[in-house]
Amino acid sequence: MSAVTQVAPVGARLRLPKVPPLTALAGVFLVVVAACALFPGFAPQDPAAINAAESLQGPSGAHPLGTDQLGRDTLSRLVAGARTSLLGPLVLGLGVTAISTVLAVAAGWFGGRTDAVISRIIDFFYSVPALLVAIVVAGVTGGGFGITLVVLIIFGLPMHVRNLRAAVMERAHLPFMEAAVTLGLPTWRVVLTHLVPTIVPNVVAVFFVTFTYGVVELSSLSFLGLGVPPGAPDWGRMVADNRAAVFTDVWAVAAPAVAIVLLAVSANLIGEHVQRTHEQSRKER
Amino acid sequence: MSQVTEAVPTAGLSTDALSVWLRRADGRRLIAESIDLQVAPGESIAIVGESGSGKSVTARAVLDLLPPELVTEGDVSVGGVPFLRIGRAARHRMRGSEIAFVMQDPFTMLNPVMKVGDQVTAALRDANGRPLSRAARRAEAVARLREVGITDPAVADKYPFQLSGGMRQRVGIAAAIAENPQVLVADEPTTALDVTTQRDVLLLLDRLRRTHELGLVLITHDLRVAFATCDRVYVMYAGQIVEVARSDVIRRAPRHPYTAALLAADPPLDHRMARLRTIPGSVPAPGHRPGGCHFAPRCAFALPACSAAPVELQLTDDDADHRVRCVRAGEITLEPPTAQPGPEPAAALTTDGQPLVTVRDVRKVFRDKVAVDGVDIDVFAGESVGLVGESGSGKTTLARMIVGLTRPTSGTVEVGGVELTAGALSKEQWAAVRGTVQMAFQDPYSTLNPTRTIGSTLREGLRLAGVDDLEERTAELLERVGLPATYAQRRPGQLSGGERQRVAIARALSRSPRIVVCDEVVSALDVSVQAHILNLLRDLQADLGLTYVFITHDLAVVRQITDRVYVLNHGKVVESGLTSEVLDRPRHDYTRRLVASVPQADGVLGLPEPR
Repeated sequence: MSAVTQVAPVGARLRLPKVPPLTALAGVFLVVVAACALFPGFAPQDPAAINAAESLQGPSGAHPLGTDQLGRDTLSRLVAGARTSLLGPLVLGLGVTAISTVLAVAAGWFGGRTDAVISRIIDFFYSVPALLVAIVVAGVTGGGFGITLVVLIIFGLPMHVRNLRAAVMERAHLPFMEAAVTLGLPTWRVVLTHLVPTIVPNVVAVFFVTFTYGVVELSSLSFLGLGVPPGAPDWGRMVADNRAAVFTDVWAVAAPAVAIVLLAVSANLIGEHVQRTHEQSRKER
Repeated sequence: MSQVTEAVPTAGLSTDALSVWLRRADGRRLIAESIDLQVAPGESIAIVGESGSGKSVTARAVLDLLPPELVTEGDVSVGGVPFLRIGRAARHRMRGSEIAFVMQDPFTMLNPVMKVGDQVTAALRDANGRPLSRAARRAEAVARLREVGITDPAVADKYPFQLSGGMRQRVGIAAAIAENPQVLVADEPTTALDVTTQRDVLLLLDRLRRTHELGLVLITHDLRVAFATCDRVYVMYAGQIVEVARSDVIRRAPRHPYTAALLAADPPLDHRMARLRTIPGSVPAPGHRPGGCHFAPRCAFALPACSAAPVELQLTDDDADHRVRCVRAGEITLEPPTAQPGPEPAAALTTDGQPLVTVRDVRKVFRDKVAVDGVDIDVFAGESVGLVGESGSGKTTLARMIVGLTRPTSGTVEVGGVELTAGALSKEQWAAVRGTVQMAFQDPYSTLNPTRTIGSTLREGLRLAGVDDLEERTAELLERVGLPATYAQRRPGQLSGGERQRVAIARALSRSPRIVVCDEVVSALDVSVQAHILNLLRDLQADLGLTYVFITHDLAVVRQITDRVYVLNHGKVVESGLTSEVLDRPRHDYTRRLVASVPQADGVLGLPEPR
């Protein structure tokens, strides 16, 4: 009887996962964006090449998505902009996820004074509006992609530290944690090999939520001219640069705007899918 | 007092071929198969079964309170009304006024933001169908609460969280019977309660049944509760009723092998069995039930004929209303469960020499609550010591202090020569403590890390104990607790509750401790599984010379597994001594009350009602 049940999980792993069509589309879109970010050479034309004679043209054979005010090819700029549009949220997501997990585990597991110190600092940052600080910091320091990211990471922490801390506290006293302690496992091993794996679903959620917000927040800052330097191809920046011409040529604004929305929605769909599959595999076990 | 055979078809509750199916993407599975129940007004029946028997699903099907993925077939008649055939709205009106439901957890049953008095009277209307006035409601609430034994009128103005578990269950019952229903269905109403409180609630249900001519359906896993409270018992196994008879008939002369095995597996309170009887295998899940008799694969009397065709419930020859679902019912002789009182092993006590665990004047205070209040305990090598008490007695806190999971507020705890309370311990001292004492926990579902295989869980402890041949020793550990070595590759989710508890015990053994602290290790398990684990613990003690500290609220379990016992109440030891002495001749009032509260075969109802 054991032979039969033993095979079951292997079979479950080999079975092709059932992916809803919308999620599959989202996955394809993310892969395309990632490919553009990795290989900007995909751009059919030089994204920086200015051609005033061809400014604000609608879609044509030469310019599938038309051109902007300076006559630059919109499609090429979209491709080139994929890098900052993807990299920013990615760094933000990874940064927030890693730091908030460490802080939450420290606060939730050790409790007492550690918890008090971490929680008060978090409370402080909670009470400050993140985007406003980012704008001020960018204004004072002269802006820049890196510093904007640092500010957004710091202010992205509070909500997630609180959530993860609650998850940690809920699990810290489960019998199997206490059994690990009683067995004599060093604390760091209990935390790394028993506690952290149980909050993986929450950590994954943090990453995708932060990524999605990051797409929108970074685009907003670029739109305000506070992220990437002027002239650099960036989706938020593109929307800003061409907004005056929205009634003359909607494409130059709509294309990057749609790309931003698609990226955010896709990340969300993929995140949800990862969560669901994880939950399911857990149930099947 | 029970009109069993003459159940009037129009009054009370009856079900006719009531089946419950689980709808799934890959077809439907039968959960409960063609259940026929009869409850006359003023009669009480019990539906008894282990987890997976379908008893709770049946109860909910009767009330049409199933989740949407479960569908019913068949008929339910409440007071002559075809309950499942009338409209949804009509059925809703009948719930509460004709048939009411009491759930296991009295806290989830009550609205936490509504005062108790309002909940009890929420459904009441005056003669004209209008809601009652505030004053009338209040008077009514006080009267209804008095009916369930709550004499303090101030309780009506309290919120559920301000009440104890037993009080909440009383309030739940008061709310359920507020509209004078004919039938009350109670799903494990006392399972979450302490034994003394359980007795009060059972007595209350019995009194209400008589005063209100209530048909009572009691769902329970506890045979003792069923026998003590109910006129007739329906025994369910794997979705079927396998035996129906009057309580005393089933208790003295069960005819189905499953019923007999279940009775035999239930540890007796009054004597220690040399070995508890067990049932091999486990209850099959819906969709995996064998054809023919569902119990055949686990049955000692099974013949090929048993599995050939579905078995019907048939009348037996010994009693007019005794039905049994067994083709061999007429030919096999089942031993009466009480026939073989095992010899009481002489308590081999070694209470001399150096104790392994010494607890002196230990106190533990959580904020303003005193959990343990000046306790002295000694545990000597090779003995099994019970810590007995109800919830809040401090028994678990005490156990946690012995393994070093909780630090006492004051007092000393010494384990294997190391004083746990002497400030910061060195690494070597901790290692010595961990190698001396290990713990097994109550809940089989959270005792193992769900993300790790059984093997990796066991190897962790072995590695800490400095073992080299990990694979070999893992297999050895699994075999020691009665599991095949192949289980090392499994994850906890693939194991039953009893199997998980075995793994948890194996994990404790992985560090080769001298003492194992068992915190309610069998209280979440079914009776037949519990017997397996208790036998296993005894074998391990004999083979490995282990010392046990056994925490439990169940006196019958204490009788089976411990030599000496400490009775705890409100954080203090009120009585201690040899287990047999304490249980047979309790000296302290509290111990007496505890022993008297255990439902006896002859019924708690034989005892005078308190107050």
